[in-house]
Amino acid sequence: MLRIGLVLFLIFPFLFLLTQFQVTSWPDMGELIWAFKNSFLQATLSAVFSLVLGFWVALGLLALNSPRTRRLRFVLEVLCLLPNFLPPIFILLSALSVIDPFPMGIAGIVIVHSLMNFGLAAVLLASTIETKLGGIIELAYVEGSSRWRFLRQGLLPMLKKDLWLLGLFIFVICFGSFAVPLIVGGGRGTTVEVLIYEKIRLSSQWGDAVLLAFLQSVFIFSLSFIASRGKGSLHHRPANLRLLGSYSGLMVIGVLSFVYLFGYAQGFVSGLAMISTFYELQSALVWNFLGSIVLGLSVGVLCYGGLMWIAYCWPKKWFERFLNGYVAPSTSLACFCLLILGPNEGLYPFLKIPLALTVLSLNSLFRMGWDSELHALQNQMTVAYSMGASPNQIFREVLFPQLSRRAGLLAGIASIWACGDFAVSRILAHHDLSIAMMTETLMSGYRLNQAIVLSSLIVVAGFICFVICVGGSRVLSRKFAP
Amino acid sequence: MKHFVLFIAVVFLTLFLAVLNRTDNAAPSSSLPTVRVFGYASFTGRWGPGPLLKDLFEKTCKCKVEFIEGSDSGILLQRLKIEGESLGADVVVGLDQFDLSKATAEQPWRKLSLGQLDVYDAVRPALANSYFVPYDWGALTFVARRGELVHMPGSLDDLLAPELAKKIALQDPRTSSPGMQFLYWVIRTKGEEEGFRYLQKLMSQIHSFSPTWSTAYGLFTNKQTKLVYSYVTSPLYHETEEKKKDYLALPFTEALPVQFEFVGIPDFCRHCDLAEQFVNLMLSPEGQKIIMEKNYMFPVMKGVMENTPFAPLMNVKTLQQVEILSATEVDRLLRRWTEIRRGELN
Repeated sequence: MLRIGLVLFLIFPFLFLLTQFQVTSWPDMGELIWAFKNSFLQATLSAVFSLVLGFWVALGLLALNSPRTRRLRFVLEVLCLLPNFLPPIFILLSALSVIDPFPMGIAGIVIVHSLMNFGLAAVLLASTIETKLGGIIELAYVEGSSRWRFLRQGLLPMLKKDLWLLGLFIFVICFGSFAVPLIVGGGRGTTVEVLIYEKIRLSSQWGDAVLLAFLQSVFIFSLSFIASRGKGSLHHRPANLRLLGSYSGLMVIGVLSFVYLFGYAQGFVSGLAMISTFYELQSALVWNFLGSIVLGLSVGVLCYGGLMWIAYCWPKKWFERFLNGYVAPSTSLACFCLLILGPNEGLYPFLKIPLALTVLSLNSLFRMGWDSELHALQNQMTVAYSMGASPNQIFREVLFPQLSRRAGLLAGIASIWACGDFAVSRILAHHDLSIAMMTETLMSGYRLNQAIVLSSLIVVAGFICFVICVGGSRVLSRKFAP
Repeated sequence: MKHFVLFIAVVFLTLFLAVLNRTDNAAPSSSLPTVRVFGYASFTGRWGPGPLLKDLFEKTCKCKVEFIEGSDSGILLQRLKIEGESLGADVVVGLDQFDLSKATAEQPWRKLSLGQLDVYDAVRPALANSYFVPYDWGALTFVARRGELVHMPGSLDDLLAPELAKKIALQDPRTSSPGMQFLYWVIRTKGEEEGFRYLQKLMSQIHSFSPTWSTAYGLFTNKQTKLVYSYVTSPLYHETEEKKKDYLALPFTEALPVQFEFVGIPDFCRHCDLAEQFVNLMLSPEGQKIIMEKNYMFPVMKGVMENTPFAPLMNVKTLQQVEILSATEVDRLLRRWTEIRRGELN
């Protein structure tokens, strides 16, 4: 029952819109093929480049695995993850300051997607390599294997499944990406997601939009059958990773961080010169900052709950297959669905925005390693079950204490995303509720540099939410420890 | 454990209640009626004219004004359709001439009786519609940086010069009002067939078709492009707010297109008299001054712009006729544009 409930929660935008709008005709095939071709091409290239760069950077991060360099590694990991959390327009404008001329269209989309996802790929890969292969790397080092030989004959074959999964994860993120193709596509790279938006915004062709979103979901769902699941491991001991660690990876972090930070810093400095314009808005800044925190924390709590809900329902073959293949509904569809559903005043945006962001991000969080964590615990669950433990007991005493920290980390990431969101909030809220929305309002005038200054508060709010989610989950994990 | 959960719950609840009860969000006093104004974000936002108009209006109206935002006119119309009636939309601001047919087709509107308005001659044709009245306007042209181009373009054909290859930032006409204005300008100036042939040639000159004016302008200010399609008043913003005189709006031999922003009152308004008073305020000298200074657009009423830096900018040759295209016609033109765009890419 709980499983069905979760499935219904995830697909409810489709179900609701299908009850509201009739799919009367098949969309223009030329347009559909064009959009699918663009989506597929940009998502494939983005996934490949993100993986290649991410792998290289991961080797750099692995070079810093001694206790002395832990802090530096943390800073570098934050640098890697930052572009994933800043609004895409800032990454774009920063990249534009460095890459001149910037190629708009598919090439531009791929560059921005790679810039946004390489860090996530690197951090996830570095963690996978450490937890799964740490011991083997150490053994190969002791046995005198060369780096290239180990890479070719050891690491890559053993990581094949994880690389497929990570690649698919990035592919899915990029395939469903909305803001980047809309802005960087420059009219050249209309993707399915942008086409859905155009259908709703321009001509109110809701039926076509629902059909397109459905086709997109079916496509991703079928793709998920290609990649089989990866296996995770929760426990690892510190290992000597000197064989793999490469300082050139750190150089890549430096270069890529420069690409997205340089323009940002330039805009920040120019914006600071006009900081006096913020003085009269101090009260609005404080309230919107609190609004960002409330939205970020709400999404964090909902995602934490959602991930635990998935864990409680685990394992079941069809359920796992559904979660692996499911792709979140189009951003525009999910938002307009919630806009139609019930009132939008007072308290409602604070309920609807977190709900929409949870529906849109829960699946990405699941693919970001939650599935591997659950697989790693499957044996313990089987043993506990065969010894007569009830599902409640298994969840309370086996799963929750071991999963809480990871769920907190993922919920923290979702809360950072929520702090940076303005697309969903703009549709569902009646006025600026958060710093991200305020930033977007500034951008829609001439005040781009002031918007960049203001966006630094998004990072602060995101960081606070992240720390609260991670800290809270650790406390819960300790309290529940048997 | 219980203490921890309780602590988190209390912190969360306090934050939540604080944000809900913020001063500008508090439920209006029940004795005062609330006028709900639907508008786009840069109008209703803190840097736009909205908050100042609200303060001015609330001083005299014995009412509260509440803004409901949509990111642009397209989203605004969708929002109006979905929740306008249930929420009680009293005033809608920010529709341009290409939105009017769609707005009229989707919603019933109230006839406005504003009497004789002393507007500029360029505005007079926009008064023909009895459901909507323009509250500001702007002529659109290309904006460049001083000294960056050897030959500043002075006509549409000059935009095809090799020096400008991939250096022009335009807006996507499907999602942006200035983008639609450019498409209309070309078609009006050159005729439909010749216009689309011209657009086909122009495609190779375009750096990008951005979804919004702000993105295109951001590309330009980031020096990715040498020209951007914007308002003749754009350089004035940089001069006034940033003290920069680097930008200039280019004069063209072709008459420039004009964007009018309209205000209207939906037929299902709840406080229709107050709504009409609000529209009157927007057209009053104080209201027009606020709109001009915050929106960087020309006022429609005479007597506001004189002796301000805006006045000399108005002396540009503009298209004399204001054509309100039907929704079908707009859709047809956009489809042709999309085909050219797609054809160029395949």
